[in-house]
Amino acid sequence: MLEIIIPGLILGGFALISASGLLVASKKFYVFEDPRIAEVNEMLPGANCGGCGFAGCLAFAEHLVKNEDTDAICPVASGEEMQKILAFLGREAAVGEKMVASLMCNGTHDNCKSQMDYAGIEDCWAATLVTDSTKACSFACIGLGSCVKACNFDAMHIENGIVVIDDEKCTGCGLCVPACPKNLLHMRPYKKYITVACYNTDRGADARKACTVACIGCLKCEKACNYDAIHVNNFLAKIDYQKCTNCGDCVTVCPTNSIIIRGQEVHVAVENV
Amino acid sequence: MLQLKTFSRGGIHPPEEKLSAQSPIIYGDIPASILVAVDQHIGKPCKLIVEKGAAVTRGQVLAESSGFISSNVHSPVAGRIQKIARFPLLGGQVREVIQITPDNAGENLKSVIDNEPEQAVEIEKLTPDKIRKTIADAGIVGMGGAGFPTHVKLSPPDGKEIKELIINGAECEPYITADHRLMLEYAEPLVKGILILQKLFGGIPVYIGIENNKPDALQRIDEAVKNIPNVEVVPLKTKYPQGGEKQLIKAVVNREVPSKGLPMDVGVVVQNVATILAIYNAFYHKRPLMERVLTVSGNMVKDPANIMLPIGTPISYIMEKAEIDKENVGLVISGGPMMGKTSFSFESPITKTSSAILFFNNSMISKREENPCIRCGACIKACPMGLDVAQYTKMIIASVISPKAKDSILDCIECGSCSYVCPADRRLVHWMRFGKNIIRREN
Ligand code: SF4
Ligand code: SF4
Ligand code: SF4
Ligand code: SF4
Repeated sequence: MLEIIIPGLILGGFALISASGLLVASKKFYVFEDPRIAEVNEMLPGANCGGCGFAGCLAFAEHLVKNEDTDAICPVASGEEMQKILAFLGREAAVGEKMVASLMCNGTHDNCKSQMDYAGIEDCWAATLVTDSTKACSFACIGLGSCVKACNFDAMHIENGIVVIDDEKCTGCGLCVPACPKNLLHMRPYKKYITVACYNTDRGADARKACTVACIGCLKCEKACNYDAIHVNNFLAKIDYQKCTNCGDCVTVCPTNSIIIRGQEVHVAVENV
Repeated sequence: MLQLKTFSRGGIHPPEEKLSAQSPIIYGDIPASILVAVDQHIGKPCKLIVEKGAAVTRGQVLAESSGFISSNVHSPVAGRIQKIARFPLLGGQVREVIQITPDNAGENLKSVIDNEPEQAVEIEKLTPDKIRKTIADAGIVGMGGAGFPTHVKLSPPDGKEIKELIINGAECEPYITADHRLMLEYAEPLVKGILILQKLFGGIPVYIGIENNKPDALQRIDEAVKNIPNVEVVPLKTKYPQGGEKQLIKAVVNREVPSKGLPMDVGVVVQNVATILAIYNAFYHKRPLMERVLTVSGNMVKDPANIMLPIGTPISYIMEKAEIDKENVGLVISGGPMMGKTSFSFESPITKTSSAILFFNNSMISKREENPCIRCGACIKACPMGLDVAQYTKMIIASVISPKAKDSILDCIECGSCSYVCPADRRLVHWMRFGKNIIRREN
């Protein structure tokens, strides 16, 4: 009997000592973890894409709870969701409009001819190590999909030599922007669908020789725009989305069709509803 | 028999194909149009100082060095500037070039050069600063391929002492014979150039490394330096990539340049033979770097040759002279087949660093697919830098590169030995270069 009681007592004694040790430690080293962090984390989309500039959704949640930062937004969450989170934290939200990535090139295989058989590694950066571009235009989209690899939302696909972006799936996280060696991905407001799909700053004649839909810097769009929203610099037109009204006047006058309407069908459908 | 020197780690023996070794240097004519690239060196871009329509003279500065690590660019001809625009260069990059229409198109380069006779130079009176300045003003860059401004290499920072000068006459790449011919035909000028550099560093020992597949050059240079103190020819056992700076230093003075280090860290400066000739020209002819000798070879060329041409000559001019059939050319390489760069335009001009232009037909293009690594270790054995190429490329493909691997990957000299030996046709050098690109982007 004693053989059982003695070890039992010894072990019980140890348990008691450890338990009291833990009790003291938990009181002495207590750290307050704001329960709202976990809740805000729950409310975020959980994509962990890093588009907000933090290490992931949890880190962003912690930032939101701990700082009175009303400008920080999750690019993936809709404005409504973001407002809900900030309301939960008892703050007023400055809601940004939804942005999407937009390719500044339309150099498909038909518009801009390939000038070599590239047989190297399937990656745009790897290609730039051996040539400025595999296509006749040295500004063109290489179409080997470095941006596609960076996208977490299946919003980008290579079609006919360039990347095509699905405005509906694009969350505006912006991760593809630094992934492009040609700097061809720029963010634009989802609702502003007129884009100059070209990035070629060579003189008009040279640009035209390289690609059938190149911006030649003819200034017709600049003159046609009634809202001072499109300007040509360095033989390349650029739209100021603060001023653009989607009127499409520039699209009609562009002699080379370098200004295009993105996701047109979708937007028309929405307007018809 | 005497044991010939070479570097110890790795290396390969590709077929030499030195088809033009016995063709004496010929002089080209001034082409109808010259395209001088604004930036032909590694470092800070130059500043363009001429305008469209301006008349230029031979030797006039077109673009000015914009800092210490930068280099002037001169007009090789007298003429008028037709256009300044972006244009594809031999490396596949599209950059700004100055198009000049020469006044004397069709004139042979030899007669132009003969008009600029050698002048006497009192080497004893040259000060180190004067030597460096003359070299910098002449726009001289490493002509073996890298294009690093020469005056920078010759200006070690305080605390780094240069104890030896090595002249790179290895020319280990297949096909290229330009340096070989220079050593045979310009031995005396080369020696004069070497003596200027020797003077710059206070009479240090000079070693001229030449591979033993060029016995005539070995003999010729040996004769030329016989009576000169402290200048010695070092015959090397032929092995690729002996012309790599670090490999050459290991072979000649048996010293190892540390990882991330420079030759000056082990007290050595390496200069290529063609660069030495440019230095000679700068002093003895007051001539900046305006022409160079390059090898024209490859299986599309009937008579492989070594030719001296003004820098800026479009390769279409060479193709016309060498009667190369444009339709059947599948591959144009600037430099050697191991480290050279492919080009996609027949109008691209030669630059200060074009040591060869090789024309091949489609049969020379490998159509084989990249296969999985079979872990044979051949790449590791071949790598002259002792890198675990198979492992590193796997890390690069997975984009998970350990910090230690990063340092090693940056040590790769892109010699291509690994790709050459890989039985699985893995694009190992391209992966390594891509790895470097990933690491540099991260930083
Ligand atoms: S947009 Fe940029 S990253 Fe994407 S495929 Fe084109 S070149 Fe590559
Ligand atoms: S010209 Fe413009 S649209 Fe055409 S390939 Fe170049 S960047 Fe793209
Ligand atoms: S290319 Fe780089 S990794 Fe390959 S053998 Fe040469 S140094 Fe080694
Ligand atoms: S040589 Fe090719 S197959 Fe062999 S270990 Fe290296 S990568 Fe793998």
